[in-house]
Amino acid sequence: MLGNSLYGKRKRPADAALKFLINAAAALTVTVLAGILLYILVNGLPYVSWTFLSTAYSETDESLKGILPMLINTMYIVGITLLISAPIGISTAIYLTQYAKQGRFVKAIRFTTEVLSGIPSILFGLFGYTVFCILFRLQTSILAGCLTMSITVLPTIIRTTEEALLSVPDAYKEGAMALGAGKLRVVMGMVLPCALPGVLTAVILAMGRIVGESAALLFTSGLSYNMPRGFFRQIFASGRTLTLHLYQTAREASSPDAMHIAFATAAVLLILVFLLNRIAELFSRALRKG
Amino acid sequence: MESKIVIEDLNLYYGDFQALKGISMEIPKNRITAFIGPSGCGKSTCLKTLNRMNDLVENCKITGTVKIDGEDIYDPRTDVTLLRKRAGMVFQKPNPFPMSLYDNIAYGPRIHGIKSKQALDEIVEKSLRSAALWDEVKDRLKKSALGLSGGQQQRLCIARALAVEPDILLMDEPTSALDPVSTLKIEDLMDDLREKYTVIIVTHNMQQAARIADRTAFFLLGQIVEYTDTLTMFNNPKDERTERYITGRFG
Amino acid sequence: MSMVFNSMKNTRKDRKKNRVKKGMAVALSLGSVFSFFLPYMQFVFKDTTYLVSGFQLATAKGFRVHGSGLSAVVTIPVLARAAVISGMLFAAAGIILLIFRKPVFAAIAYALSGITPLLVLISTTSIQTAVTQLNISKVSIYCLWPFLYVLAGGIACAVLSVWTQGAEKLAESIFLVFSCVSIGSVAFITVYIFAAGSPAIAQIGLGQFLFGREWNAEAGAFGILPLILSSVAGTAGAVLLGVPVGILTAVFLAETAKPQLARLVHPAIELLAGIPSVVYGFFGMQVIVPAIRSFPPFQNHTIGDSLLAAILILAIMVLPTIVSVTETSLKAVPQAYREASLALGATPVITIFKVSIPAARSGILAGVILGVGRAIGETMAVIMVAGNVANMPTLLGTVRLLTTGIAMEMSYASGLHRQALFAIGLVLFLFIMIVNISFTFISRRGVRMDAR
Repeated sequence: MLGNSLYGKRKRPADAALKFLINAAAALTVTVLAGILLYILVNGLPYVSWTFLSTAYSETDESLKGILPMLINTMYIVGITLLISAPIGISTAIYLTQYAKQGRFVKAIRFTTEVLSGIPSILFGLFGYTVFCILFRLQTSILAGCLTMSITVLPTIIRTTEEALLSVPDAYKEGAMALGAGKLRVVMGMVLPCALPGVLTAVILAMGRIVGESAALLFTSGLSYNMPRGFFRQIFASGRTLTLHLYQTAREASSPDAMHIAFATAAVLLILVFLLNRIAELFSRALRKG
Repeated sequence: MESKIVIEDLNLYYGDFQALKGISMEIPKNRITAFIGPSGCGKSTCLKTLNRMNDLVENCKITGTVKIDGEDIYDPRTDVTLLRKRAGMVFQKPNPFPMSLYDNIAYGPRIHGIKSKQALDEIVEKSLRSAALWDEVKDRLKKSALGLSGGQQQRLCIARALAVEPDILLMDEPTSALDPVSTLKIEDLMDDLREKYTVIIVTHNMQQAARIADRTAFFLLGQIVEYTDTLTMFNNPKDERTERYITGRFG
Repeated sequence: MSMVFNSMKNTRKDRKKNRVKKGMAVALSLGSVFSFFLPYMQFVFKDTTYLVSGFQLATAKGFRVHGSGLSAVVTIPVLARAAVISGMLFAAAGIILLIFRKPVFAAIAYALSGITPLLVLISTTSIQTAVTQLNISKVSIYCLWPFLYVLAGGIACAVLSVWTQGAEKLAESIFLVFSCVSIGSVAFITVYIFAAGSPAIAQIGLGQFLFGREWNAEAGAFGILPLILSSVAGTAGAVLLGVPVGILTAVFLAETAKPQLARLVHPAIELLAGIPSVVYGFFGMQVIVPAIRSFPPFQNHTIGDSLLAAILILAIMVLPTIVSVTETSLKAVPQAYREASLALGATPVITIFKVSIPAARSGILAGVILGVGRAIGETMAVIMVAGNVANMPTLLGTVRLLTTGIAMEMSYASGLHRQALFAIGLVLFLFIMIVNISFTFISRRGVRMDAR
């Protein structure tokens, strides 16, 4: 027995075991997640080339196996969705934080957006398909996909923007008010610029969500892979995004060649998401610095 | 007088900054020793070296020896956990766990292997009695400790420290966050603790040191200026700087 | 932003500007009123074109349509008539209200008149169904320029009439209207899912629907018990695997890892939360499914696509969520608790399990629930690995979950079948609601506890 002496490290087997578990779990997480990244990138990157990015796609023609139409469709969907949802979402956040009386009503709205931000996208897809595609007669089209996605990302945009707006100190506002500026001028000239990095983060997070979305778009924007015929015509035409292209090629691929397309598309998607993530990170860092 | 702790030529660095410079002192057993000095003089840092809480600070480097009962606590063979069990600590701000009163006290004994309900009950009661808190809280042991007043919380923290049966009690400005009545209660309590424990208290409050401490050390800029009996220190300081500090003529 | 902000100074210039705005609004809305008498909508049934004005929509009995062998009158729905009439009346009311200096009410009237074309469009769906029942397949409905003019003009008039009140008022109204739009659309989804899901449940019978063991759309058997059980089994499995690993990883990042290492791992996990689910599904398809297929004890018992594959991929997908939420709540635990525990002679590991984790438990629970929500709602990744046959769940057998049940058949379902899919959506929605509401409840309680 070591008795009361401080010398001699006591053995604590439970401690060691738990410590081992912690390290093992962390190692497992990192291995699995890094494994996925590496697997996709190693198998996909060799097939990503300029030709791949800039060629049209055809299921029959061997020389046309690019992803240009999907890139264009993805850009359409991201652009139009943000054009619809960003003004509406940001306005809502401004109204809720700056104009509305802070009471039970605003709390109820916050609760709703909080709860609804967890709705699975397949339900949005279901809704969008019947309402926009059928009821509004938009058929499966990029516009229908955009309208669906707008509702999907609204709760996220509202919540993140609200947080950014609330983080602006009241003292700034009061100071500007005391100088006799109107409310609109205070909001537009003072609060919004201060919260700008946060608002941009919200928008970029929404972009990431749109780029990665598939279930809500499967029935609304459709699976067509034709090259756009005209700038405005494409909005009313069906078109698959990168995610849906990956889904479709992966499901139908039988030859190794077709598999390469899926891998390369997955790699492109990963890089895209990675870039968006980095940009959002930069903005939120700017916000923290103030 | 028997020495419990012997510090020899202790130097402590936070990165490039030297926070303690050549500290040497002997702390007597079963006595109250007070560390006084202006803010940032190193007294709290010195206290924390005694149970190696400064290990938690990044970039902290130590030279010299600190011996408790003749064993160097900075020896690589030392079991830090055991050291901390033997040298209990009470912090500046009361920091009870967000659990019931009972679980707060029983936490220490439980992690050191006491499982029997009866033994735990006894320890809880004994510790709370030693901390002069039993009568106030005996009916609400299962309630959250965060519902107590600041002074009660601090005495709970003392009781929690006593429950693991340490032989040294380190107190880092235990009354600085409390009102005068609670402070008085804790000072009375410390007077009783002296019999069983070696108590070291860091304080801003010179009157407090004068009231309760047997010996007092005056710290300035990381060095000990004077270390002697409390009576001597306050009535007949040797160093001019000590005199200026205790008479309040010091910035 | 060079507008006039100070509307209190009612200068002559302002009054003149207001008169211009008022005049424009009146002129625009007069246009709206007249456009009801112009060709408003175009219906094409089997190469026969009907060009109908708003006035005709409101007054005509219907279309006489000749189908294959039979002919019938297709009536115009009452709602469409009412919408057209009220559109015209609202526009007229707007003019009167504006002239009598009630700009806010005028704006409301204009906005309502702008909405009516959409109501007309939606309500004429029943015409399409009626014609389809006459075996005429080529049916299309076009909106013509007056239709779009009423839509845009109504909104423009509303904006103009509020603007006469000054820019402040206009901005506030725009913010208010946009919040109504966003909250309304989000609330509408909820209502819609209930409205669209319940008829099928009523027709099939609640017990039959929830506890029926067979799903076979052709045979008219709509029992979703296998789907519910598979969803529950998939989620439970994913949580059982993902939660311990996730929490321990978070402990590693927040408590035991060297800061440099944590700084490296943390953003990687953040990134993984953003990876599209299709990519996870693709990985599962390429790696997990073949691995299960060729894993010696399972060989010849499974084709690889299975509940197990779904569980594994879902467990991986919930990891980032659980890790980051748990990490955040562990980091929020006051350092004083840890110091107190260490000073009592607890080892760092004991401190983590006895103090840090209990103190962060409401946050951790919230993370777990968030993960559960993500697992229940996941569609695409599961569809790629689960095999999608509506079997009762077995670990190595193919399964179909609630989400995949909807996704698999949506594109071709019709009639009761489609309604049944909506009913699945309703069940899924209720599942998620329960999960989310308990999440909000728990995270609020956590806040209250910390605040005390």
